[in-house]
Formats: sequence, C-alpha cells, structure tokens
Amino acid sequence: MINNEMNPILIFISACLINNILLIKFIGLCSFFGLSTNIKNSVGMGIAVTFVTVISTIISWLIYHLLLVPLDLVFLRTGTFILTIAALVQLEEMFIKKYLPPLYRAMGIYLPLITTNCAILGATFLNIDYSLNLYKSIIHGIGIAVGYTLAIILFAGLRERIQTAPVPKSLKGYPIAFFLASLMSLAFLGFKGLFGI
Amino acid sequence: MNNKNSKPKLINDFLYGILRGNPVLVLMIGLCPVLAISTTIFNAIGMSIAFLFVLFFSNLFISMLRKFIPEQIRIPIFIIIISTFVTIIDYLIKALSPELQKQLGVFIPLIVVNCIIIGRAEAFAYRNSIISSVLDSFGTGIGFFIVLFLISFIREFLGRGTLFNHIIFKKPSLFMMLPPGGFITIGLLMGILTYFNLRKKYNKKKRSVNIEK
Amino acid sequence: MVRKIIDFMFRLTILCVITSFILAYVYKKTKPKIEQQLALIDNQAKKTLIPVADRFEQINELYTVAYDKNNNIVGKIVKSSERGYGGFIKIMVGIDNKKMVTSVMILEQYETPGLGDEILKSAFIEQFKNKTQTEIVLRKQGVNISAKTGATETSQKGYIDAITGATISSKAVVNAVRKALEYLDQYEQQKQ
Repeated sequence: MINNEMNPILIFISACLINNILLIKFIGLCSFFGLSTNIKNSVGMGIAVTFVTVISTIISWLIYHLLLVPLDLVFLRTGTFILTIAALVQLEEMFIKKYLPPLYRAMGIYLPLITTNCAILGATFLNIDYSLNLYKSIIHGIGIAVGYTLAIILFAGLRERIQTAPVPKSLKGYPIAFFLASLMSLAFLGFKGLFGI
Repeated sequence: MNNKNSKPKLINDFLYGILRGNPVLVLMIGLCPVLAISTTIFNAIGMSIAFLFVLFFSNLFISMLRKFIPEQIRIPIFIIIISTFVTIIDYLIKALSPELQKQLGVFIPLIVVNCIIIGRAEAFAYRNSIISSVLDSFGTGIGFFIVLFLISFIREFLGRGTLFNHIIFKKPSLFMMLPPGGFITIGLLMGILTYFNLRKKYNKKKRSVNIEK
Repeated sequence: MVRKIIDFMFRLTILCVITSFILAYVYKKTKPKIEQQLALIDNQAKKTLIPVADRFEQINELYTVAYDKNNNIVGKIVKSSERGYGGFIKIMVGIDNKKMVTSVMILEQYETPGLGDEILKSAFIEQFKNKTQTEIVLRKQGVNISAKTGATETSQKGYIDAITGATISSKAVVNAVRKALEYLDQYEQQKQ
C-alpha cells in the first residue's frame, strides 16, 4: 500500500483519490451520511475536519514517536490519540464560537461530532501503520482530509439533486443515499492502478 | 393500543437495541464498521464479539461510576473508559487470533469512536441503573450483530460463493465484496425495512379510520 | 470555580492513572503470547515452503536458512518484492540446495480482485516449482517476455505462463522471484 519510500505527491493522491477514506476504506461514514444533506454544511464540515486532521496528525505522531515508543507505552496509543483529537475539537469549537459566531450557529451540533469522526482517528492510526515519517504523515493526513472533503461535497451535491427526483417511497432518504454512495464508490474504484499505486 | 408498555421495563431495555432502537437500521449510527467488516461472516462474528465486549464493559462501568462523573467532563471520562476497553480487546485479539486481527485491522481501535458506544453511554448508561445498562448493552450488541450478520451473509454468499469459508457455488459476483456492493446491500436492507414500516403505518391508519366509523 | 476545575482535573488524573495501570498489566500479560503467535505463523509459512526442514535460522530481514534434524542445510528462504499493478507484491521464496525454487508464497498484494489476484491461485503459483533461474521467464501467449527489457524474445524458452489480462501482476511476481534468486547468488558470493 502506502509506505515510507513513496514520494509525497503519490502519497497525497493515494490518500485523496485512489484509497479515498470514505468511499474505498469505509472510514468516517457516520458523518458522511448524517451531514451531507446540503452542500453548505458539507463544506463547513470538510474545512473543520481538515483543520483538526492536520494538527492532530502532527501532535499524535510526535506523542507516539517521542513519548510512547521510547518509554514502551505503545498500549496507550488509542487513548492518547483520541484524547488529543477531543481536546483539539474542543479548542476549535471555542475558537469558532468566539471569532466566527455565524459559522458556529450554522454548524451547531456537528462541531462536537468531529471528535467521533472515524476518519481523523483513522488517519492518525494509518500514519503509524504505514510507518511514515513526520513530513509524509502530514501530507498523508492532508490527503485524507482533502479526500474526505471532496467526497462529502460531491455526495451532498448528488443528494440535493435527488430531493427533486421521483424516488419510490420506501427508498426515500437513506436507502437511495446508499445507492448513490455505491455509484460514487464504483467511480472512485476506477482510480485504482493510477500511477502504479 | 400500545401493548409494549405493559411489558416490564427490563425486558424493554433489552429489546430496545434489537428492534425499535436498532443502532444501524433505525438510529443510523455506527455505520463505519458495518460496511467495512461485512465482507465475510467470520469477520462479522469477530467484530460483533469485540464490539459487545467494549459496549458491555463501558456501559457497566459508566453506570457503576455515574455518581462520580461530573456532567461537565463526562465526555472525556467516557472516552477514557471506552478507550481502555478498546485497547484491552485489541491486545486480546492480537494474542488469541492474529487472523482476526489481520482482517479487522484498524477497525478495532476505531471502536472507540463508534457512535453507538458513546451514544449508549451518554443516552443510557449515564442515567440508568447497572442492570438496565447491562441489558441495554446486550440488546444493542445483539441488534448490531444481527444487522452485521445479515449483510455479511449476503455479501459473502454472493461475492465469494462461500458461507463461513465453505464453498457453496463457484461463480460469485466479485462486485458484492467490493465497497460499492456493500453500499448497495445496506441500502436494499434499509429499503426493505422502510417498506414494511410504511405498510405497518398504513395498515394502522386504515384500522383506526375503520374504528372511528 | 477554581475548586471545581481542580476537582475535575483530579478526577480525570485519577482515572487516567488507574486505566494506565490496567492497560500496562494487560500489555505485559499478552505480550509473550502475541510474540509466540507471530513466530508460529512465520514458522508455519516457512515450513510450507521447505517441508523437509526442521528449524529455521533467520540471518537478516530477507534471508533465512533452513536446517534439518541433523543440522544440514536443506534450503534457504528469501523475501522479495516487486511493484505490481496496485502496489508492491511481497513474496517469500523457498530455494533448495540445487538453486531450484521449491515454492513461492505471496505475503502481500494489492492487485485487482478477480484479475490480478489470480496470482494467488495455485494454477499460477505452482508453475514456479522446481524451476531454476534461467527457466523463470514470463511467457505470454507463447511468446517470451524478457524480464529485463520487457521486449519479446522468441529465442529463449519461457516457462511461466502469464495470467490472461494480468500481465503486469504476473510479470511482477516473476521479477520478484528472479530478484530473490539473484539476492541469494549475491549473498553467497559475498560470503566467499
């Protein structure tokens, strides 16, 4: 898959398109289906996720390699990573509440939900699994966040369109959304093999 | 006439997670592992056991300690407790079944952010007795398992032609094993469920109109 | 207000300390079992490559020597990898004392399901059994493909049939096996 020898641009493309975190790796789906009902929310969520992902990638990498590994405390990995993310989301929420109140009102309940966004925790774990160095971890994290944002905005666009389409009653809402996701996933599968990744 | 209320509370607590409050099909939460792990029945069973382990113990301890958990810091405390049990089951699986570890991969630690577990902790275990919380954990865990089992049954059968690694037929449709197949399977299941729910509502309405007549 | 914050910090810290100790205990208890499992799997994999072996000695990350009960060398195992269609294909090759391949095991692959991952099927992988380095050349529809230049040669007899529609995956495995054999040659030359 992705390994430390790959050049950063390939890592970015792999994380964003070829192994898109939502449509190919299935990580981060709760927010994907819950939020993507309109484009505005999706853009906001995408930006917030990107911000948290980048910073938590850096912090969790540093904690892992400078603290947990030397002290043989690897088993604290899960706890420390998720607490870092929770703290960052809390900080972000306070920041947005103070300096960007309209955005805060628009995003409402979704801000705390970023903590439980599997995609961010997934990104931190994948960086460790792929043994990436700090620089490539950051690129990888950005790639995942951009891939997430891309997928969620595209999906929101599709869902907005389908609201005016003649959908059978049983399929309205979530079932048709899943069919849409299936088609999107099929499309993204077409990226496989790009640049020999 | 709602005769569900006549059942004792404890039975209701147990049944909630399976039917009316089924986490995946009704509440629509905790979807990540459902789509990723449902490629084979072996994975589904392994994941459900890990999930139930974490759900049971976290519900148990959060309910036991609920008097000591101040409301303002309850979320970080939930996270610490849940991540402890996730780490425990992670190492148990590594030690007992490396094959399962290979299949589930990063999804074992991802149980810690599974909306279902945090959701049940917040909505139920924090406010209810130990016995109710434990029953709720079993109910939700079983509800989760039923959905996961159904989907992986369909996907493994149609996508690999095997059932629990026993070959059934020889020309499977690989599409079902890939991501798009997963999405379609769960979409279909939800669609079927919605259809029956709508029918039930329609029949209820018809009956109440008839009674009024 | 400050008292509340101190109270919260105190509770959180106590909880963290207790859970850390619990996790340290679990880690300590499971660590030996985990290492045991990994060694078992590794050993089993190596045993399928060279069945007559009794024990294995790992010299470096890629190279393992297989001994029988009387401490005679019965073969060597070399790990190798080559870029395939969807990523690196990692393999393990068992080589006997006559420099013939005993078996090939694919450890990791990311090829197209149903197409490239046919390399896992015995129909393809069994072709490598009992072949020497000169015999491990890709053959596609009766025409041989040079491992080095990718150009077709009609002179040399090829012995490994490619999978229809998955030339890249097949070629990658062939090249990986050749790399493993070359590594063995290099290593033994260095020792002398």
